[in-house]
Amino acid sequence: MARRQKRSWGATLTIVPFWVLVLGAYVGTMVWTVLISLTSSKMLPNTQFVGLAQYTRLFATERWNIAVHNIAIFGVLMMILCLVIGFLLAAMVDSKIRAEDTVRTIILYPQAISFIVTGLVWQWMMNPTVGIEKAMHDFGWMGFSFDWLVTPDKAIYALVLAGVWQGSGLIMALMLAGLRGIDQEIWKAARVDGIPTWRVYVSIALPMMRPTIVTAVVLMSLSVIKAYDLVVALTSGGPGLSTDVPAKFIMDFFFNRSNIGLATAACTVMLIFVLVVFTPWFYFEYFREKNGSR
Amino acid sequence: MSFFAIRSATGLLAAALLAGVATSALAGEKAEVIHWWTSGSEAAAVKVIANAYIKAGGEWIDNAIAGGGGDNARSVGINRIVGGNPPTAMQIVPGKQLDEFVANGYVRDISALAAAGNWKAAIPALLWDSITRDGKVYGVPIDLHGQTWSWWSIPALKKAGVDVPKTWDEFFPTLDKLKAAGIIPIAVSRDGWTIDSMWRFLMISKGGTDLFRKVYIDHDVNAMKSAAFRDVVETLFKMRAYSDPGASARNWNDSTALVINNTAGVQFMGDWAKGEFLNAHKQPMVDFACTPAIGPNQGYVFGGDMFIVTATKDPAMLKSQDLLVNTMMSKDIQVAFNLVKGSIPVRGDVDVSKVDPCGQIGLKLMANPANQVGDRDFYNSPDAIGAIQDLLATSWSKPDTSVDTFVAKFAEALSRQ
Repeated sequence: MARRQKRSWGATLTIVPFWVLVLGAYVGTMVWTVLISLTSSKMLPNTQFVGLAQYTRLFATERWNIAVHNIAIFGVLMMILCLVIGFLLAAMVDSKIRAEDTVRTIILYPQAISFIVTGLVWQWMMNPTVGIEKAMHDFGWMGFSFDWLVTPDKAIYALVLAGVWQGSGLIMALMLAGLRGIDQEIWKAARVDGIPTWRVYVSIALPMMRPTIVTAVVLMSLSVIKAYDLVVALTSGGPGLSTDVPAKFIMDFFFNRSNIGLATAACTVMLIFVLVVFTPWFYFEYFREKNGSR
Repeated sequence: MSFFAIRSATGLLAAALLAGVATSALAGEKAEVIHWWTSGSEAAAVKVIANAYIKAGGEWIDNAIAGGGGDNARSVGINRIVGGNPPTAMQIVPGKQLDEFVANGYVRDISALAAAGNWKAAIPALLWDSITRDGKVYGVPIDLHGQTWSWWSIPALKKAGVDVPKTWDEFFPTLDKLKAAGIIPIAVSRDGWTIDSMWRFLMISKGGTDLFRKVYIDHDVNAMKSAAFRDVVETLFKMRAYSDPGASARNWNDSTALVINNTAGVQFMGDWAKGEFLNAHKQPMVDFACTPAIGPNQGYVFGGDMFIVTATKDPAMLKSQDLLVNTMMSKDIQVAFNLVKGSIPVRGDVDVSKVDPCGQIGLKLMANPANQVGDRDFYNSPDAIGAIQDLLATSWSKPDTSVDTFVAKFAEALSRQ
């Protein structure tokens, strides 16, 4: 008992710097952010408390509502499309195709490209005066129209398109790992029973891949919440404000507009949203897994 | 205390070791300057000041921080001031930004230097107001940039058989002719601030100096409801039809390039666009025409760049700040610096014969105080300006925006200072 006590002392000491780091760098800055959001801070942080005035203004700001609306569309579409496409690609690669390594590399390739590059490349391709539309017109197909990027109502789908192109490769890789993790005996048993392959994928493989899907959703929701670079490179939030997202809103108000109070209020809203929506779900998923495995 | 002792001991040791060198280093004034001038012509312009400073016996530590239209440089400067390690001087945008620096006591009062250099008589009255707070001088204004210019491609106009419009009645017919000749009439860019450049060109040239001042300085709601203001809004909305689909994927300099290669007729942009033309070896008034005004209104909206020297009690730092400020505001440097930068000198008492034809137009307009209009930054918070840019960007991209909605939202945006 005494020996055990001693050992945990050493362990505690070792862990102290990490606790300081976690409490100071993560929790501390979060608390600071929430505090600043309750003040009238403009260019420099101050301590003149104004209650929830920044939040009142935030929710009355049209731009913020547009940004939230956009991130919802972007997030839902991106997750569904990435999951579906990623799973289909994984199933395709899993079906013992020729040159699997090459195909896998090609599909995973976009993931190796940064969002900035993805954004710029798609910006050129989707620009009607130089991109795909121009090329089709030059080929003689004059009726062709692909103007998502410059049409306020469709620009958000241009963002989804670029995001899915970039993101589905990683989901494919995760899904493939999940599929490969399924016992081959199950496949053999299903074949013996004469169950069609698609049915095995939908009714047996997918439910067994639940942890993989959860990981994929976690990774994607992270990249959706922090979506900034893709937006800046692809549309810069335009046309008008039609593709604005919360992260861009926050950055603009922090730096460009010298309104730290409003920017931290927006940060806090994002934080609360993540806490309320994601934490219980993550907890449920991982807690369940832990219990299930033991 | 002990830290200080160690530091001075090291200093003494160094001085003993490097006797000769050390004395000259002690005599030299060391200036660390934070700025965001990183493009070709900008960096060359900084070099003009740096060389003069070194020639005067100082040591120049250049701290250029690119990005975000100065936001990054400003963040670094502010963090260093708050952290107790202020730079000798840093660049800021003239106007409201100075208020918070002054209110927090971060800026040194340089009234004595301004009095010795006779600044008040030499610079435009409006600019003087922008660097003073409660009668004390806090800023070093270094250049004047015209914010509202129009840049026309002369070959494109010739192809369409028209000239630069002299009146607003000729404006849309000219654009129609350009369109008919297969030219993009107006080169528009995607960012809100570029729409704002176009908007303020209309405000000053179609609306006039009075309207501009009432709206941006007095925040007069009645002026925003006036027929003249509505006319400006309607003109802006009408100009949508003269843009092209590529606009929402272009940066400001991509649009300038369209005018440079005669694909587009006109761009509305501040005088920094001139640098793009000159870099492409285009001659003013031969290859491209520039005008800050169409019709009889002769207002000239100017902004500029400004430096602040940080508050300090360190005598060595004070000395290097004195030298820096005097260098920046000396007549020779004012001329040399602004020639390279493409802006016009702030001092009216210098030789401006070498300034290019576009700059000469600006100087002529600035000579009459009635024409001088300080840019919106002088009187409005970055927050309010940003809100207006959001409004302009959305209204521009959505053809169904009504003038009434625009006016109401404009007034609301300006009320939030």
